[in-house]
Amino acid sequence: MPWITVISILLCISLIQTTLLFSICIFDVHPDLFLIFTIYFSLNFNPTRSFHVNWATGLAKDLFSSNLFGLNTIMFVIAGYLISIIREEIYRKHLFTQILVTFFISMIYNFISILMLFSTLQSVNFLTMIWKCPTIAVYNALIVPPVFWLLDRLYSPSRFST
Amino acid sequence: MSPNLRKTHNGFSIYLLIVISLLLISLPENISHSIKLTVASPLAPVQKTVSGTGNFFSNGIKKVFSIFGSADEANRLQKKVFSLENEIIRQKNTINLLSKKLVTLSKFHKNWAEDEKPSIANIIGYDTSNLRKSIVIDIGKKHGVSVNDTVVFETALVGRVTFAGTSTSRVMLITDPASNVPAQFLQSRIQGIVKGESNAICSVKFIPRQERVQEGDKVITSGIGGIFPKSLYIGDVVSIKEKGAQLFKEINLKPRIDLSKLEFVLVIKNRLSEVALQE
Repeated sequence: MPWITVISILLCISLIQTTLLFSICIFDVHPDLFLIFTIYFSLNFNPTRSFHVNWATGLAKDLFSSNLFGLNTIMFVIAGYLISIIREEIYRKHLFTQILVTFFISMIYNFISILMLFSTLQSVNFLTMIWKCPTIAVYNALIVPPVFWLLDRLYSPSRFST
Repeated sequence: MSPNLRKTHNGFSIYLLIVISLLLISLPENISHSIKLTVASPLAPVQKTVSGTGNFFSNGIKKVFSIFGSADEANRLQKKVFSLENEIIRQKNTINLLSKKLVTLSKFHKNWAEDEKPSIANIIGYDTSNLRKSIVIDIGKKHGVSVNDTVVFETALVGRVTFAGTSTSRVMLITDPASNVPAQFLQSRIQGIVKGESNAICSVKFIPRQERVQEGDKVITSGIGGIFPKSLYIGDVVSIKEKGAQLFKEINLKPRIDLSKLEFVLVIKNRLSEVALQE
């Protein structure tokens, strides 16, 4: 996938994530398109290429968040790395696998995010925030089919090295 | 490029990006905020347009659904009741203070009330993280906004400015886990801290278990600390728990404003920062 396409997709995701997604909040939670894009890219493209894209996706998320700057760049790279370890062992083209991977990666990502938040803001109530992990993970997993379909239409990974 | 050279190049770029990430994490907060708003500011006009269009369609859909129940009238009345209730809370508080002969407003506070000139700001973006609650507004330093300015909707508290860019600013909402607002109960005058929990409900901390608090009690800003002005309506108590031998009650508070449905806010200048600048 050429960089211009990646940057365009990231710009669109940033725009949608910071504006429209708040209209579809459920239980005060909205889907994380940045993370879903990272998972899509890590499942479909070679690890070196996805490393760079995941880093850029994390940076884009950091730019529009009040979280610690640079944290998501590392977390997304780690998420991509975890997927690259298992991608050859799983049937990654199957929708069910994609939903399952998104669910588990979202759980891990949000759990680590809460831990980081807990360590930086001492006053955070860990127990009241932890319930958010499964909610976000389920929401992300539910939104996988349309988002992956759209990304597949936008750029077929089969045309590039996998 | 030969395969070996490409491998070296890729390896080098991976290390470089990791080093950049670590550098970004170690940046001081004001620099990182400055980078964020500067890089994100070119997107602000597009965000404003998309937000506006989104709100337009969202309102349109709501209207379509509410046609059958003469919702327009209900909506108008609801807004009026909301506005009057806020006013009542404000006035009740003043009466309360007078009756207890505790009204010794400082000259500073009086000045605040006299030349209060709030600026209207549109919300153009939300936080991308599910765990943080902040918004981006379309006014910044060039409109007179500075860090720690109070953000309200009508007379109810929304949050405070945590970073002011040239033409956009980031506002930390009262529901953000990093938000701590000095508060007090309207009737009993008990003081505590309203803390964000990253969801629609906040908690009130440090209320001793022997104090009498009831569901539905109103909570307002206490003005302690100087960041938030006094008497701004924060929210209503929705649940109270006393666990084991804990010294303090566990109180949940529903913010007066549904922060997810706001389209614009008012920014009030922080008097302390102005006084500091004058001195």
